[in-house]
Amino acid sequence: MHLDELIKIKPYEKIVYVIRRHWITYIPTIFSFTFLAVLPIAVYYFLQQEMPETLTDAYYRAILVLMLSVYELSVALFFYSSFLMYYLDLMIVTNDRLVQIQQKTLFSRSVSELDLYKIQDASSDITGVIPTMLGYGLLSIQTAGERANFVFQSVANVNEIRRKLMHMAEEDRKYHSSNTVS
Amino acid sequence: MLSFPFFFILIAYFIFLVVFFIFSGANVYHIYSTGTFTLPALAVTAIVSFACVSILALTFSNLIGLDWNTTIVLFSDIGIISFQ
Repeated sequence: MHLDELIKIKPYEKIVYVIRRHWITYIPTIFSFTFLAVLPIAVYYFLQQEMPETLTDAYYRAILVLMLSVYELSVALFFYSSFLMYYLDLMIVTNDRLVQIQQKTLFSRSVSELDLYKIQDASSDITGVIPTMLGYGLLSIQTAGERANFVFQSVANVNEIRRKLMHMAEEDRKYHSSNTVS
Repeated sequence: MLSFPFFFILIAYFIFLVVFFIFSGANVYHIYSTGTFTLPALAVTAIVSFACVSILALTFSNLIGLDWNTTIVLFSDIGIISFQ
């Protein structure tokens, strides 16, 4: 399946942006899981010092191997799931609308849509040293009516995307108003 | 005192593997169904798959040659875990 099919793209529509959180925000998660994956090395040295018979006896060793295997496979599974949470959180901007997909848990996802001409205001917020250096930050889009605002964290090139989004919203408003008049 | 054959532990491990493969399959299906099977997703999938296959291969290579019919005894006079 392609993104076009996922958001049921219309014939006149084309995808302008696919926005994800900046990859640098995922680095701490990678380090955390790497730490968890190598943690059994410390346990191994502890057992070698305190309970060496558990490493020499074949049956104790088999139990330890199975426990280690369960642990490492779980770490790998949770890492992959966390990657999915990161990677499947996305905002798709087309020349007609904005689609926000939020992967909350493995089996919970929310999809929200907004027509570009309904965008009232967009603001970007860059806070911190690293976000300032890399140019990523919070993008919030205010909508007309009672709809909740669209908020997306750690968007790369957030200022440029905000400017482009406001420009596209203006173009879409002009298009819709000219069609309404005629 | 509680005793059971050693292969019960192996059965428990296989049950874990079934759950593990169900969730892994669900993860891969999510990537496919959301149209995000791109190069980064493919790379992470390949790395995680390689890691998992390596873990399974190392696990099974370490379990060869054991007598799985040995009885494991918990909380006996000898200690918390003993083998007969």
